[in-house]
Amino acid sequence: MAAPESGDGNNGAARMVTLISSDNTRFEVEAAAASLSQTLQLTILDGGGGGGDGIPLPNVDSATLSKVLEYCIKHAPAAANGGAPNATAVDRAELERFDNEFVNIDQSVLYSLIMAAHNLEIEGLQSLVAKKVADMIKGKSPMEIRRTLGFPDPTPEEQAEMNAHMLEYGWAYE
Amino acid sequence: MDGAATGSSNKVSSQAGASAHRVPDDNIIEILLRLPAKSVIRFRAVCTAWRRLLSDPDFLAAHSRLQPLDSILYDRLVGSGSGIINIALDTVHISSITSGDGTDRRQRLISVANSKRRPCILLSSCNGVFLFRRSEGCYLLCNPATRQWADLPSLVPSSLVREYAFYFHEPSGEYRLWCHRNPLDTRYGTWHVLSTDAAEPRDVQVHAEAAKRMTELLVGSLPVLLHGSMHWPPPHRRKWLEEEITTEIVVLDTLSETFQIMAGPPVTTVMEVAVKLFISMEGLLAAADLGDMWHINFWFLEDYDAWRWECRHKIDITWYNRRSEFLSGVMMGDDEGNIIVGRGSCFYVCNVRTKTLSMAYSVDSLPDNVIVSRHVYRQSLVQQPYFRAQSSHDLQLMHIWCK
Repeated sequence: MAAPESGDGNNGAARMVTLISSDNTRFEVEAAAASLSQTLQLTILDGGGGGGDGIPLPNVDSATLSKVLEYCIKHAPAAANGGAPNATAVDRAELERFDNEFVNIDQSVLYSLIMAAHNLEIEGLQSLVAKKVADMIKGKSPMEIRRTLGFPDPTPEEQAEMNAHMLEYGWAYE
Repeated sequence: MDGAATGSSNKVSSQAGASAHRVPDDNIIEILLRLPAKSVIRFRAVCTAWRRLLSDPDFLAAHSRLQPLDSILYDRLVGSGSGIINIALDTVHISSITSGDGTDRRQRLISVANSKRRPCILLSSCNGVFLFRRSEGCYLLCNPATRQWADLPSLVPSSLVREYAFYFHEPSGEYRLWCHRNPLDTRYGTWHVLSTDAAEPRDVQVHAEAAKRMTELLVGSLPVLLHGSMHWPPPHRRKWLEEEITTEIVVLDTLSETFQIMAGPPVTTVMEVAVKLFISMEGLLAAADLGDMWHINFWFLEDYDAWRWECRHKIDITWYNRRSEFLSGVMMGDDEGNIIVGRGSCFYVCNVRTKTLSMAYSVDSLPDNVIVSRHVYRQSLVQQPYFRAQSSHDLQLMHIWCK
């Protein structure tokens, strides 16, 4: 929505910035795409990230960053249009198709992505990945959730509480 | 950003493992906010920290804000026994209506076992809570997401009662219903407010002349709630001259409990006055003038305090020869520029950006016992103290399917 206009908005001369992952890989992307990150947007507006400098991202490894940027590049045009008043149904369907494919990935990559999206404050990506993970876990039992998260086994008191909850809200376990 | 290096899954699980009794971190909360209602309730059993978070009013309010707005459809179920008509309330996401590819996207929400003599009728919906009328002057509130119920005090001895406004009263945290009893009475009847927290109906004084005007204006239309006030569209009526006429909108301030008559959008239609109110995506009071033979005009109240209507969109429907179908419409806007008009068996989408009208979602292809209601619904798990789990008596009446 608030992607910076670099003067004339001429695509041929789009401003580029460099991002550096935690394992020192350099990624060169259009400023408009990187600006989907609220965190980066301020730095970029200040003129950072250009030339040989690059913006270091010590919390994001190269595999995750390349995935994050794939999302940003795809979504940048729609975001720059401010809600895309001239977006067609086809454009929207294409973005939706892209999003569905994009999160069809290994669980561990999803967790890295959601943390990166959180750190970089990319709202759309955060919500997309959170939705995907929610869909993956929505059918699990409380015990399965505890195991997934590596919680210790419930104490007898906790177990009793879990049983009581299941008795009271049986319909939520169907 | 600190200097730590990785963002791998190991980090997530080791953090989580160590914090079984701590509040889940922001990333986990983002995920939990996107769970269906049923899972939110089930996951309260995971641990104490989760139970606290998943019952927290702020969490539940945020969860509700993320839920899609649904339109409610009635499905008269086949195979009903003698003397019983079973009605189901189904939902369709408004966002999925616009992509109209002809598939049936209904989801069953509630089914109601109805006796033919005393049918249980859906009157209104507010904050994910449905208002049913069990019989004259006797009401039931139901939140399908929490499967909880609440009663309103009954109006007895029962006599002819008309329900006008159902809303959530923020300051008291109560659901309230405004009723008008004996509307045919020469003294213009009496007004009552039924509140979830009160044992008895409360009488409200409305000036007799005002009450008469009001009841003429409020006939049979659903009001919309905005800025703590209910707004009723002008009543539907015939007119014969091509002249601009002013319409009137009745506004009930739910805090001061006073009625006011305000100007509605001007209409220039030939045949009839048919105005529906809705809330636009930007949160403005909006009106659709459906009485014109050739256009649908969309008016927006640009400035609520100055009360200024502006005609923003005019959509050509000259080609469309079944325009009278719009008159029963339910109205909703979305952020894609679509305004959805429902009627009996289908939804139409007016796109104000492309200025087009198209039929988007039709239940015509389904058994002819499905119709579009005037009601919309947004699921909410927000708890109210006076709601309780369903009793066996209510269970006989309704079955909830909510996911």
